[in-house]
Amino acid sequence: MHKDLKISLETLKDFQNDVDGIGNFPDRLLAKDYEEFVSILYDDINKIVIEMERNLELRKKDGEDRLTIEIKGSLCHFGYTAGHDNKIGGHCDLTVEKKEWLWIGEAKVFDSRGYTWVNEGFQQLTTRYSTGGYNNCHGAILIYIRKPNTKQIMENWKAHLLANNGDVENLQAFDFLEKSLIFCSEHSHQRTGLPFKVRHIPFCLHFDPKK
Amino acid sequence: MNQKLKNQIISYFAEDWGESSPQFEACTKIFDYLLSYPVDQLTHLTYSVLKKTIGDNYSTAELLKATQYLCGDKVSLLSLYFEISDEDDYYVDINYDDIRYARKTGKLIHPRTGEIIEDYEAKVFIYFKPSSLINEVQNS
Repeated sequence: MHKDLKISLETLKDFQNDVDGIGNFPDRLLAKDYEEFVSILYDDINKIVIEMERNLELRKKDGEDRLTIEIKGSLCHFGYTAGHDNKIGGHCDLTVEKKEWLWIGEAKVFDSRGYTWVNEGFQQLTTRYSTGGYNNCHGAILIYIRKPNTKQIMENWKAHLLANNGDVENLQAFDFLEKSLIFCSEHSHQRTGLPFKVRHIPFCLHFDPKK
Repeated sequence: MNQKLKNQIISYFAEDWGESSPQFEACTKIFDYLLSYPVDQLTHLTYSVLKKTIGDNYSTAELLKATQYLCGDKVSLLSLYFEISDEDDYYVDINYDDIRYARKTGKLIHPRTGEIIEDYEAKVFIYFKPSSLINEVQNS
């Protein structure tokens, strides 16, 4: 018999290391506006990033799509309606929907095409896929980095972003948190004129063991 | 029974977890259980009830993964509820707004007495009810 299996909010926390995403389980369902939805989603994505960065040897041959599908899979396990390659103004790499809320992620491998390639992702996200309305005013660039020194790459990308998007109204970039390689940008969405916030999330996938 | 909808839901389990995974089997067992009773008879599904439903081969962690998924937006078969127990083991429901307030302030107000419940996370328990999707599968 299992009559003693009672799960409290505290018990859920105890299982955080065994069950991915369980710590945010109630909060995900309690989210009552778009900002709360996005905030919890980013917390969940951060946990997925950490998990992916822990097992690099398993992912050294994975391409852009394979990595994005893995993120989508984890989000589905958490209960999100997540999609890969859904058609919203084009084929979005990653979408998460809840009620009328929409979040879009555009994924780019940082390779020989460099910052210009990442910038294409920024432009696709902000001018093609996103609606820029109140229910879709957050998105992310997911940057899969196989080269060393992610910190430097992100600093260079931030400079490139600001230098090469002069026509983007009110574009600004700011650091996200101390001790984080993520940075955020914000600009006026060309379609709606509303502020559109982009989180630039690096995945540190460089794997070159010397022994 | 809407067999087409039932099959579609099971295909989501397979797509998201893989047919040979413990979560696929756990989700399918819970789904079958929910469909085997009128919805109004399943008003208080605790983790104990669901653990008994899926059997001893599954760990609590696997059950938690399944319930997290089944309460989600994609395949919403379970609705999440909160409750606290009084000293005399009498259970009282806590609504979402009160939980939201507690998450923000750290203070949960008892819905009957108005008292602040100390250490509320240890005292608030989770249970489930079948969602409207179960009704849809059963009745259409």
